[in-house]
Amino acid sequence: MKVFLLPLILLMATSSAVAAERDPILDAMNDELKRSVTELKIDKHDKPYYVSYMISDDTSLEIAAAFGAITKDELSRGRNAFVDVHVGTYQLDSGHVSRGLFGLAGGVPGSVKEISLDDNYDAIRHELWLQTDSSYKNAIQHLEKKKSDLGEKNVKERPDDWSKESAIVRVEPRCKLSVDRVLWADKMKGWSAIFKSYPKIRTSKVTLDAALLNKYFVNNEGSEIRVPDGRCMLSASATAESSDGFAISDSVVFGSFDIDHMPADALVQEKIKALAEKLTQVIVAKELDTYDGPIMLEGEAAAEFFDKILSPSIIVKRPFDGDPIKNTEDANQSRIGRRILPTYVNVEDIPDLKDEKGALLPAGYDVDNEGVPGQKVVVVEKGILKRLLSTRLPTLKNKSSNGHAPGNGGEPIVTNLVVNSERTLDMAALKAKLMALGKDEGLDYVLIVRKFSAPPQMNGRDFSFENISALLSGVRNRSALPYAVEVVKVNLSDGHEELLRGGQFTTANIRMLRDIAATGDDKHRYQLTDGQTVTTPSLIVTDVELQKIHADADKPPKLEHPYFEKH
Amino acid sequence: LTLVSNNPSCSSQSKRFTSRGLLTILSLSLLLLPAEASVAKKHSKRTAPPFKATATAADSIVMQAMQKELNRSFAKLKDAGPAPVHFLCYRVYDKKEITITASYGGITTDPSLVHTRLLNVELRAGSPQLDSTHHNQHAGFAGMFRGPQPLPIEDDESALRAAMWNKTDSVFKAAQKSFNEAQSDKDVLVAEEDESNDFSVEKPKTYIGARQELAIDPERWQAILRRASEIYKRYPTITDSDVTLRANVIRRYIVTSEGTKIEDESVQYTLMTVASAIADDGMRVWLYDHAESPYLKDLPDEKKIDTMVDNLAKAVEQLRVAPVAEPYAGPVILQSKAAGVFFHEVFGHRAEGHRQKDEEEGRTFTKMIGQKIMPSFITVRDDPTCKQLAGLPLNSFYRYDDEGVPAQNVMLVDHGVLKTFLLSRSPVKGFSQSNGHGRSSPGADPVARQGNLIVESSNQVPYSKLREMLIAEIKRQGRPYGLVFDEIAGGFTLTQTWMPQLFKLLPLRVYRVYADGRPDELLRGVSMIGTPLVSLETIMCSADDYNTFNGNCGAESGWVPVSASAPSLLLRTLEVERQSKLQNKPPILPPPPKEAK
Repeated sequence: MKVFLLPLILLMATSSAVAAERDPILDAMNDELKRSVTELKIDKHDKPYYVSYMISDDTSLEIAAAFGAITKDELSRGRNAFVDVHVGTYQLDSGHVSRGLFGLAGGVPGSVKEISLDDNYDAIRHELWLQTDSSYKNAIQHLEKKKSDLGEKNVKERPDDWSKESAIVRVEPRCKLSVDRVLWADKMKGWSAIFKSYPKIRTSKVTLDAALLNKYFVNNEGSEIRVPDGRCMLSASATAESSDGFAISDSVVFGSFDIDHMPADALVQEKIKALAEKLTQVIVAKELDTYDGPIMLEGEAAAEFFDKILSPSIIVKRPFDGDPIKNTEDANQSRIGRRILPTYVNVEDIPDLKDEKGALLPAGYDVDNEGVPGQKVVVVEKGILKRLLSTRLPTLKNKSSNGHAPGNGGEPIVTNLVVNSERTLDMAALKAKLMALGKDEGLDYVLIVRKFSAPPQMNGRDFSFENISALLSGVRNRSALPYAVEVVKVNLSDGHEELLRGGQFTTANIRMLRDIAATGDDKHRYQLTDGQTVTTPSLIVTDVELQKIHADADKPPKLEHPYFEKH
Repeated sequence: LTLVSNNPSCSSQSKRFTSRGLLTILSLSLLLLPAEASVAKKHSKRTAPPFKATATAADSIVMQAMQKELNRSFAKLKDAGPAPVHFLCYRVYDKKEITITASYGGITTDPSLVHTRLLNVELRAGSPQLDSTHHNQHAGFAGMFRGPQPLPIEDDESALRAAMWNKTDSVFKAAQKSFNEAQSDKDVLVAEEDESNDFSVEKPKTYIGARQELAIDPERWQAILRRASEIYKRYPTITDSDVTLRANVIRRYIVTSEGTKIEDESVQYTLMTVASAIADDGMRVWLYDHAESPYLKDLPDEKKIDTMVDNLAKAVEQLRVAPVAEPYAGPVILQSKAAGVFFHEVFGHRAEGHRQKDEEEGRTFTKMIGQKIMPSFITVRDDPTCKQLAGLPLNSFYRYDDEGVPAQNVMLVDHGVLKTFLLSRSPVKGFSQSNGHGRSSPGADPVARQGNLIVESSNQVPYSKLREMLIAEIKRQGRPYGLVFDEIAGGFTLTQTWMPQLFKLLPLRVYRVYADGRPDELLRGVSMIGTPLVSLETIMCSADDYNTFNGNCGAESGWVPVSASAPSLLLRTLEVERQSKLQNKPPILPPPPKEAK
């Protein structure tokens, strides 16, 4: 008996401690939610059957530095409320409605608004009231539109509109961002000054974006959640330019749940230096001749490859009912049960993957933004696509959520992708295999790609012209894979390696995954610029075409960099 | 080309209320520049000979970095390209801003200080007669999107110079390209009507103003605004409301290859409140009230803020239940603020110099210099050197414009006769010099803009008499009623030839005045439209009251603070049309009950 009593007592102690200090935000959310589901009704229309409120209470520190000086140092707070009101039934409801041609990018069912930063019950409840009111009215219109759209169509089999999930109650203590701003500003200045030793680097920037938020969620199914969520990203980006006008950009990124889990300063320093050195070398390297044959994607390049090629194919996409433009069949769903990778490869997505110190990773979470626990999903098993990442928006093959909702009606998100191989070669054997494949094809050399270009991430608060043009050029060049920055030519006669001036994949699509010929034993977790991580070994892909980078190179600057002119 | 003179309501509110319809009205920012900056007299007399300006130890680090990089760049770039560089200018805007907004008792914006520095590089390739900016005359709003370069916010010379070097290089290359295009345009296009030079010659100026810091106690102001915003809780039909304090200081640095060196500062404190409600027919009605000053002490005290909020809440509640106005043409009174906005749109934008030489512009007044364009009792000037008018602060005081040219009081219309235009350093036929109206938002390329537009009348009567004249005119025209326009949100005008060259004013509150002596009736939901030449001719008389509309004006060179002052005006005929409105019903449930204390 005693064995069972103990946890019960502990539980009670926890909940009473929470009850002792009521949170005015949760109170306002619960009270207005209750009123909305019981009283909100207009004319002949039904009351809402599902209402959820999410509030993200966000504190973030952004420090940026360039060339040894701070360019931005802002600590900011924000609170946003997301209100989601569904009218109808789980089978047919008001959600996920295309709004004509303009809605093709995805309808936004909820609404979002900045709310009081003070824990002011009245102010928060007032905002929730107004947002619930307009969301309810929109929901009625959407349901009626959906019904009439469906009435005109011959729908054979239709998935439900909203999955049923278990309610969870989880109220954790509120977190608070604590960063030594002065210390970090100094670090950033120091790191940005590394580039002062590299005259070929034209522009560079080091950015820290440390955000810590308290995520509140309640719904009328009984969920009540308050959990901390962190995302701390540190990146250094640079553009190098050669005397003949060839320019290339790249960045290094570090990510963690919060600032205390950032890598050691010495490692950051070392990696930024390596970035500067690599770019300096790349721009003076020889150009690549068009290449057709096997390549090795080594280390980080393998991670970027999976992110760009596999990630878009493992999420549930559901077409709108009554879309004015006929939807193509959802390719992702149709691949379920089919082989997309070699039979010895398994892939998982793990939202609550932990780092070495036991903390969540920047894209990770315990509970997603629809209040569903983030679950580990075995996406690919023995090369076969088994399951897609999903939200509460069901499809015929994915009837429930596995906790991958970004919230506000968005498509499922990939968090921490883990690629496991059951058949690995040590790195020397992997290189030997690559060379053997090259010889079989009668080539003189083979290529190793060590890094794809990671264009600087555009922060929502940083709409500078440079960032926008960098973003646009990224969009232009995206043949699914960005430029390869670090490409190495391996001479087949003697195994000698020579750095080249980057390269560009002519085609890149999901079929390349089936052409993976071998994997290494060097499995490692890599941090990507958008917060996701990919854990993967290096790998060899057969039959790849690479050509030199065709960029509209500007002429080199007319004047020398003022700093380097003096020295 | 859309020109918007905005009201000083907050950006989100303005966007919500005005961005419907065919024209995309850009989001409005509240960017109120200085009314006063104190001066360090010992520096003000210094002058530097052209081309020889050097950085001195007394200069700020920013100024030193600018001067050194400008000198280096100009010396080396002058003859580095196919077209010579004849002018180079660096402008840096160092802005510190605090915004505190409270709604319904809670603070909704982060009150921490935001510090930014923006660089604009103006590099002209070619000659003053024809240079790389020639083409820009047709670029319209493109300049607004050619973003400025963010700079380090620290005083670190090598980091500042690195960013300046990088920007200069890209501007240099773009200028060479533009000059080439301008030259080939000359070859293939018919001669332009106005063959003025592209750049005027002005004397270099040196001016160093004193530094100021923002004197805001965020804690105290948060408490004041929280309490004031709670007043709206007493008015259940008011849905959205807030009270905002905004404080900013902009330190501006300008250096040119001609030797101009200006460093000055502007401080602005703004307090405002906005409230809206939804009428039973779905129309969102809203009003705002505001006060601004370069001195914090001149803002309303706590008691006055509370009164301001309470009065506004009552006014919104009245407006919410007021009947909707019907389309109408007939006699109207534009009360002074509305009259100011009327002149800003109808006349002011059409008097901006660069529009006179752009072939795509309507050029309404271009060939009317020396001619009568409005009743002879009206005189219009634009005076950025003026800080106050009739005791009220003017939003657009400055000593030097963004091209480093001293501000001038410009007599635009003298007793109905058009005398000159608002001029930047882009000369116009007959006018070869700037009159200190080359302006821009921080970091944008300057063009000719309005400052403090002041309309004066020599045909003044007391307001009560003007009202009697309105009623007489209503009777004379045989109409049942006339209209009086009171509060106004702003307006816009279209000046280009490929669009209807109209103006539109957006009144918030309108009264119907009956000829038969019935009491005035408050109306909502109208806007005022017209064409410039006809509208100016219908001005019959003015009152002896004066008031000022302080706001921000958006055009090619971004948002700049402006003011428009005028007496109330009686117009023989003006047309009003229905305003677009949302069809939303008011909220279904009543406001939630307050927290049980």
